[in-house]
Amino acid sequence: MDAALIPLLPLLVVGGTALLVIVLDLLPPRDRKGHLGVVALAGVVMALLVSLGLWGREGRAFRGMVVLDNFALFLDVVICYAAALVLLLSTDYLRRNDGERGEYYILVLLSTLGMVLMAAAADLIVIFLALELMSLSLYVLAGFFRGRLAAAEASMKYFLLGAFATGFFIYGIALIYGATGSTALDRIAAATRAGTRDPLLLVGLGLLLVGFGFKISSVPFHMWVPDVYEGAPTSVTAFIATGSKAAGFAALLRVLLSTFKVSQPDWTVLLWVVAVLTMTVGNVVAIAQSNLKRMLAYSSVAHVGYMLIGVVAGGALGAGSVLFYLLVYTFTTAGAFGVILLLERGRREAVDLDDYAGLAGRHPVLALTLALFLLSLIGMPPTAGFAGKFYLFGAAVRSGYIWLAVIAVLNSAVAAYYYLRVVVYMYMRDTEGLPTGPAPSFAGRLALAIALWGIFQLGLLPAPVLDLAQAAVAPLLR
Amino acid sequence: MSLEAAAFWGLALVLLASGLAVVLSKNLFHSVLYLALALVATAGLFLLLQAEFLAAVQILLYAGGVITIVVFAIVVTERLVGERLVQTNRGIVNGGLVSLAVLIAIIIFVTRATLPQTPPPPPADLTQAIGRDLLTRFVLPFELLAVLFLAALLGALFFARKEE
Repeated sequence: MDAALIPLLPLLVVGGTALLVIVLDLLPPRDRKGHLGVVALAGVVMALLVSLGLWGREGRAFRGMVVLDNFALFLDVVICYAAALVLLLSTDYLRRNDGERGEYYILVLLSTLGMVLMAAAADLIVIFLALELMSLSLYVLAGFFRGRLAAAEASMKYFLLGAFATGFFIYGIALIYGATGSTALDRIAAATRAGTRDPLLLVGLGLLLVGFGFKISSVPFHMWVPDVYEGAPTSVTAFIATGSKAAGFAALLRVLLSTFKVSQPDWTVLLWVVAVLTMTVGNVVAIAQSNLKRMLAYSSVAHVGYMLIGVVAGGALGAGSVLFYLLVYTFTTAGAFGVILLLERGRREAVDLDDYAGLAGRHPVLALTLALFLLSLIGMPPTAGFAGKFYLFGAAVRSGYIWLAVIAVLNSAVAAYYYLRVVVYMYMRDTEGLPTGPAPSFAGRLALAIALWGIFQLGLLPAPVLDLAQAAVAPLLR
Repeated sequence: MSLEAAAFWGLALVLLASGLAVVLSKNLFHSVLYLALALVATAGLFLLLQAEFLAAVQILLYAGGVITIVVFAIVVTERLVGERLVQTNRGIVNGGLVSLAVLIAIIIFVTRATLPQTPPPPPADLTQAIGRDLLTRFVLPFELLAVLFLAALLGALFFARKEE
């Protein structure tokens, strides 16, 4: 194989699988599409293995527009895990909801392609196109259950606000191009290193941050989150919460740490405020939710706030703990949504808190699994959530942001209330109404098992993975 | 005032006025027509900057393609809804305040920026240069657009298809 194409290898695997699934979708059988899920999963697992195999290699392709470094590879692994878990959970779920269509798998693969590309992109134009590829596919997936009004609302809201955010993003790129004469990240970095604080560049960066803020759903750009998370198919919700967030953080970290190093004092102040607002608003509003999907939506906003702490803290430890937390969050959140989508109550998904009353009696294994994921979201040892938060808050303290760490710890205490409420419902309330729910399929059980393995592996032995994460951010900090 | 400056201010005035009319007009169809005017005025600005190719693309794609699609959308949805759509401006005060704040912020920053006094000379054959760059330096974004359109096409087909 041509050595110039090696940096593109994970992308080519995912993109090639997407094209293969498009062709296979045209062939019989027409009414059953489960085999497409298997092909898609094989492609994603292959991309995961390729990324692991490439670890440690460096390279660039297409005049530096795409780079291969450990940072991109680490996030490839996170994104591929997210996509694989979502695909495992999807097939059975789609069949139960009469939504089994080939387009689902194609769009999941195309949006995975966008995410993987975002992690590897080193040019603002490529970042923009990757962002659009990811988002466009997710807009369609959010409305995949066409008969449902909530799905249409989710898709429309996501699309309109996403398009609005894109406007900010591209305006920011235009101003940065105007200030530096280039869209390549390394050239922008060289241009800013020489000069002083160029106002045009700062406005451009600000507008870029607005665009990123929408994608990672930080306050005040989180308005779309609850409605989209609630209305979208639960498997898609899991993908939006894990994969698209990892991709957004990937591009954000690369742009901030390697390109706008000079303006670090400026964006650190801004992100400090955004981090505090994001975790506080997310946690406080989550308390009032009785719908589990909405609750997890606000909780995901809060977790973005925690991760922004790592960005503010900076350095190898801060940025490395963000990557570590992204991996932790992927396993935990995909697992939690995975349990929700397995539960049904009388032909509809069990999403209300009342549906979970007495679940421990009906589905002891699923109840225990969900409880473990919720404990990881709280940050209880020995789950991965504890290790993740420990590193994030520790990085903040080490960089001198004591107050930020204090606010974060207080927030975690508030958050424990609404997560534990679900556990209390499951274990200490009596069953009401219909005790239903199909037996989870093999794929579904496998997905939950992988997620559980993830939160315990990362919770009990976090140090090796944190070392890898710190090695991954090293190329950005050079 | 030179001819160029006069043309710029004339176009800028048309652009701002039609842009405001797009947002403020009560009738959706009028908004679309004003939008077409704004897009043509933008093409005029491109011409002033000696970017003839961009001006032509702007008119072809936006004033031609996009406006046609929007008009189609209005015609189709009006038939679906059965009554004329009238744009409402309930959030005009808040929206205006936010726009004003953003405008002031951008003006402050841009006036502080040091912009070059004279524009760089345009390449001899701009269209040729764009074509060459598109298939050499920017070949990856060019190919990525194809994948993006594939996703868009799939999504559009998915939503447009009849329920079985």
